[in-house]
Amino acid sequence: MSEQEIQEKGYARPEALVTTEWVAEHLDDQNVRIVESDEDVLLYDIGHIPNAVKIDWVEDLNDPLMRDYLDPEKFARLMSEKGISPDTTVVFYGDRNNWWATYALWVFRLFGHDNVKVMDGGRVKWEAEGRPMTQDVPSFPSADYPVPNRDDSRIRAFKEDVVSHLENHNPLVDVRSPGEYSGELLHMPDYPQEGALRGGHIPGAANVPWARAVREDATFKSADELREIYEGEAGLKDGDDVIAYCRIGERSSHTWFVLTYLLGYDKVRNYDGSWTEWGNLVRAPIER
Amino acid sequence: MPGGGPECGGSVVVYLKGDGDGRIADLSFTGAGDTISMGAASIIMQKVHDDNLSMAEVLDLDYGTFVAELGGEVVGSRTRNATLGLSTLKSAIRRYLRERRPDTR
Repeated sequence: MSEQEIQEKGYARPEALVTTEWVAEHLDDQNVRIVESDEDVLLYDIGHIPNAVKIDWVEDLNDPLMRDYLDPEKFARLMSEKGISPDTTVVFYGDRNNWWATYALWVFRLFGHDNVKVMDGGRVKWEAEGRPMTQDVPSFPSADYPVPNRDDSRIRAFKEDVVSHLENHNPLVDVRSPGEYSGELLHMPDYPQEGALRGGHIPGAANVPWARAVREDATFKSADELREIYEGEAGLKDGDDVIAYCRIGERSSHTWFVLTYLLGYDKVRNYDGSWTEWGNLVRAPIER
Repeated sequence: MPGGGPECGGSVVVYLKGDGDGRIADLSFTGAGDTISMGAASIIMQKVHDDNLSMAEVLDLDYGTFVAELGGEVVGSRTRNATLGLSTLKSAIRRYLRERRPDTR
């Protein structure tokens, strides 16, 4: 696929996606940092795109004690270690249709690092195209990264935000599987630890499983195809104030990326407390 | 005996056959998940087989020691992923022992 083909998919912000071809041409570009972020964290060690660095969402981006992300000082230090400066274009890719790549990108956005892109198709497409992989871990000179201001309010929803969202009858998108959405999965024997005491969904939420946004080859569908799903089926429209959620916010960050960058919605927030919080929260309303 | 879930990096089902004398006659697992959980599950099943461990000996295996053997830097804080296979195996053994001796809790 060429950049032309990304343009032809009709996205609101097509510059948010780059092709494998583009990445291959920019492996040595000093202004670009390629970041691998996977659910299966050892995949990077088994083999990765040359000059890519690993960001482990669990170890690197989370606060070790409290359920939250790292503080701005630690973020600045992490960027410095990875040789990322505020002007660096960070290109994310990963496994599982790029779902942890978008999760890491979303966290970078909390700290105001807006120069971010995703490699369309992720790890699996790079491999399928027979492109080079290496086990060499690159080292970059430390970069200057001033401690940023952190502002979660633009793209992150907390439970209080969900409560007022419900009061205002604003749209919610539940991006989990239909079985989780209906609450049925909580009772299946193969999932003894689904992570919540109650099953179901937040009242009024539409169910659009996150992977509906991608094709078989893990690339994102075109804007028209995405509008058919999110607007035609789920009833969203431009200008809506949307909150997306799943279990811990990983899948919903993928949907947040789709709505924000590909369809151009400017008021989308990821509720990362998601079902592990809502499904365990005393007196939180639930629908099945 | 099933085990696991999204927080553990995967899920497994352990198939255990006892010989009636506290020893393991047959042991296998199926599962899907990340490299840590599947690799560690495979390693523990192999260890039980190679060391010819009895059910009691498996129940005595320490999770911390097992994680250290896998490599602390490899596992990091994903200890639940790394111990998924072992914990499910222990659950399978406990269930086996419970069902063989219904009068014991």
